[in-house]
Amino acid sequence: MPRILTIDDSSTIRSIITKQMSELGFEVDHAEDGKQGLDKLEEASVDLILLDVTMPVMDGPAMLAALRERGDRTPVIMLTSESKRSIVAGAVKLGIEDYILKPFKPDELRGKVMKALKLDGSGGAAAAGPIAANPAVASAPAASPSSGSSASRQFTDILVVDDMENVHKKLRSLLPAHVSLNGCVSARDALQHCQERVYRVVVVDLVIPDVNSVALMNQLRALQPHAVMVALALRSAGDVGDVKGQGFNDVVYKPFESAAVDDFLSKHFEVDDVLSIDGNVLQCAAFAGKEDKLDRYFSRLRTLCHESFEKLASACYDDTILDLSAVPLRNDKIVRLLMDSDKEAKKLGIALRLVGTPEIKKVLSAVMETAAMPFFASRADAQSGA
Amino acid sequence: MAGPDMPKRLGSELERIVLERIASNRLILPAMPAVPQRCLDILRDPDFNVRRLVKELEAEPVLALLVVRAANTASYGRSGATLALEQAVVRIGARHLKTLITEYAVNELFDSSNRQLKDANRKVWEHSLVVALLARDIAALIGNIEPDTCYLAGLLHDIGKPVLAAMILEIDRKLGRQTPGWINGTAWTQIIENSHRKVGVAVATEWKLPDAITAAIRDCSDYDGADRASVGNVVRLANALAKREGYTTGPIDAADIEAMIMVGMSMLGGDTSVVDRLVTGIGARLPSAGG
Repeated sequence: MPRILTIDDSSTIRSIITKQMSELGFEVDHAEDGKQGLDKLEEASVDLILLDVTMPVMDGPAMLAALRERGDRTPVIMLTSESKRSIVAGAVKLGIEDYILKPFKPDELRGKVMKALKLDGSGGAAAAGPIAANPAVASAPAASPSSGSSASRQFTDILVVDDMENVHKKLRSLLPAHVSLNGCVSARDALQHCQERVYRVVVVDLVIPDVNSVALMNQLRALQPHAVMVALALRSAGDVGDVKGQGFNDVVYKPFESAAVDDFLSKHFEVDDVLSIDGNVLQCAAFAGKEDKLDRYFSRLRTLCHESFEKLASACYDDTILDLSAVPLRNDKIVRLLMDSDKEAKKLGIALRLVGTPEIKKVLSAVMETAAMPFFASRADAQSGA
Repeated sequence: MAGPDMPKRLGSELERIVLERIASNRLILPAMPAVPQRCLDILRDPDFNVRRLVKELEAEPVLALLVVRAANTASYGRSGATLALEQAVVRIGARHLKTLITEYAVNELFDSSNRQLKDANRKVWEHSLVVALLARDIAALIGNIEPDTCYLAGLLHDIGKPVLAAMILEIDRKLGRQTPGWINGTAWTQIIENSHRKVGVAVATEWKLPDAITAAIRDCSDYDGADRASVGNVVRLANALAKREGYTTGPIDAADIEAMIMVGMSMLGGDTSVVDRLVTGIGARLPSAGG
């Protein structure tokens, strides 16, 4: 489990960081100034330091200089309200990975920490990829419960721990493509997975040879404190209350029933389709969730658009209409969606025509990369090419 | 006979004179070309007279052509028959017309009959154009800030450089006859680097450009933490990104540029991966004519 040291004289900042990093399953230690930070690092090494600039006793730049002086190359993210270029440039010369200006958004902290730890899919500790719903989406990033950025690859929706591989395959076949799943057949594999990735739901079979499933679940919970722990049981296993009494949050019975899996999905995942296909028209659904789910909404839209283009290409369509009318106005997310989608569509030889509101048109017109994309006020206009 | 420190002393003296003239409002600045000036005056009226504007534009065929060409691009949703000038004016709208006309007028300042100066100005123009394109994209990505204003601010952020260079050239012509070699290349560059922002602000004020643009030219050293999503901050980030990509007019400090990018990305938010992709493809988006 990655260890992070946050060095900041503000107890509020330390608490915020500790909470957010713990949610990702990281172990967090803290120090109130640079000197205390150096002392902590003498005792034990960490994987990442989040460092403030202005602190009593020893400030951030002095601490960073001392750290490098003694040959310690631990990655550092400067997290500060100081934006003076000379100070930040000095820190860059001493080797910082990144910089976060206070006040910051949770997404920014999460994204930069994952990147610094090389857990964003760019290399390093990435685990085996999730089991794809079908080969066509095998290369698509796993849908993320909390991030729409490249960091999303590190997150996987479900881990299934069952010694029978067929169980993984059966459950996979009943899940929608955007829900990602990893499977493992032993306790050792499960612990390894939970050290390397972040899961939303961990499903543990109650009967695994030579394994105490409840003890295993408790170990996995320690590594994934915010994951939902679900027991996998035979229908004859007895009362649900007994299983929950052992510490599981929920139970799913095998063999799987479609309705039970739907119920499982509705409890733990958003299952509303964000994109529907009608002929060659792709209709983006409106976003109805809370603001913190917006990244996930756009991430799913991107994934589903790519999958839909493949389907359209397979059906010999050479053009498509993407109706964005209901998409919420988030400039950078819309631009990214369109840049990615246009690239994917072109790769498959599909011409993309857009339909949307004047506000969306304005956003796209303002960015050179998307300004020239054919845009229409209505589907009828797009269909007639007016 | 001139001593070895003569260029330095004369350079300092010239810089002092320029700054003193700016302070006392006695610096002779280039006027905005007449037709663009009249067009912008017309456009200041929210209910401007389209026919009057068209008449002015017709007096400057190159500018008129630029307006028609812009209106017929895909950005304005055109795919059919070419629009006439009057239709083009209506389609583009006042805000974009102001940008287009100002850009045309600014371009004139980068022209020079002196070959050396023309080459130097071309580099500044190319850098400014990259900054302008990136500033407009960044503004569009972060929202709540006018992309056209950021574009113009990016284009104008170094406007003091060609103006100041032309001034020094003029003095060189007069003084050089009596004191050859009075200024060397280093001193020339130093004067421009030290003083171009003040001259740029003076030009922006003279040309009655929006306050946000003048502020962006004036304050470029550090980001403004009090107003994160400001035009000036967008231009600062775009400027650093352009320099990192090699669109620069002089030597750069890599750590300083990296620091400016890190701070800017965090201050303005937006998606880093999208910005990186926009920057990567920037060369392909430059007009082949070089502006």
